[in-house]
Amino acid sequence: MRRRYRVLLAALVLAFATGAVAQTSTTGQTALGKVTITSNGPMEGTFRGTWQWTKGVTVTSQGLTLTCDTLKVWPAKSGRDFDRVEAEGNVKIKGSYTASDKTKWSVNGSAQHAEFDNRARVGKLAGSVDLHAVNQADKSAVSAKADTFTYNQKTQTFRLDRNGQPVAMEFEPGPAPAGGKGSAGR
Amino acid sequence: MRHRRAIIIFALLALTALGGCASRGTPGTSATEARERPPAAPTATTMQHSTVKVSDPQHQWSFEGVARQVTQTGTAGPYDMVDVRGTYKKAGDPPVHMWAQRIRLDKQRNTMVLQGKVKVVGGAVTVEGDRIEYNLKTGEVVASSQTKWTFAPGEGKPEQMAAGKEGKP
Repeated sequence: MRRRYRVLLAALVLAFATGAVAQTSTTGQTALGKVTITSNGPMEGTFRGTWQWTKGVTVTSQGLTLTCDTLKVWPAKSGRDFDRVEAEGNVKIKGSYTASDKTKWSVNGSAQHAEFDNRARVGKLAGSVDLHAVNQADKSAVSAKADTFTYNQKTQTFRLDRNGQPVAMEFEPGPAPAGGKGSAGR
Repeated sequence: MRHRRAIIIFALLALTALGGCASRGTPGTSATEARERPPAAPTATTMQHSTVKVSDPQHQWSFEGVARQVTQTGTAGPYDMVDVRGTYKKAGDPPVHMWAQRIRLDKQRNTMVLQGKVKVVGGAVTVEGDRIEYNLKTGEVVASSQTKWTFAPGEGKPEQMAAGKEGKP
């Protein structure tokens, strides 16, 4: 069960860090489909180069919304994916997320900086990282607070750090069903 | 006496008329005349339901489109187009298809401004908004705020032009 939470949190980090833009499965396909970005400031870029948004950015994709001060995207040469995404300033994510095992989670999180390097398959959150997700079925929850959160999709390992020290995430099992045996998260 | 008065009045009138002619004179005969004469306005040609093909002399970019109305100012533009659909092609890059209520293409400045229900499609990226400025030489785009940028992998095929072309330059 704990491993399942770890995988979920890592998946959320990817979605969070990339603004639901460049999350990939092991096959390398972009998993979250259509992505829409708007901003309060002008948008600048080229169809074969980087794109940049400023003065308040909103990214939406399949039930998840990410907002930040500025966003920069480096598309892949193929035009079908992204090489890199960086979100800077007041990064917030909210919405619902369906994990690979079909469980639905409501998500809330914030950080000062988020980035995802699709070539290296590494995602990172930095600056007052605060993540919280609640399973909509059993109301169990997973949360983490740290200075940095780094996830390596290749090795499927992640690390939470605060003041240079590793930090553990917190698990909250859902309420036990009435009259039945409770199932504590493992 | 009356006769003499008439002659004097006639003389004065003649002198006034001669002075007016002298002030007009012939073109370019004085600095004052050059300053007073306004510059000749460039000729503007307007065509209805027209195809526009514009390219860079160094073949770095090209634009081809169909518009309900095209106004060409001077021999080399700019071109003002109304209700336009067209394709921009920069050397070495895939084509970019676009639709707008108005497009102003300035070949000499390498700029293109799209306004009014603008939609630009390049690969899997679609940009929709009220105003988009293009640097034709570099392919750089600057769009106004609240422009909608959509990335749809697997849906990146451009819409077919009504004429059946896939936006060839």
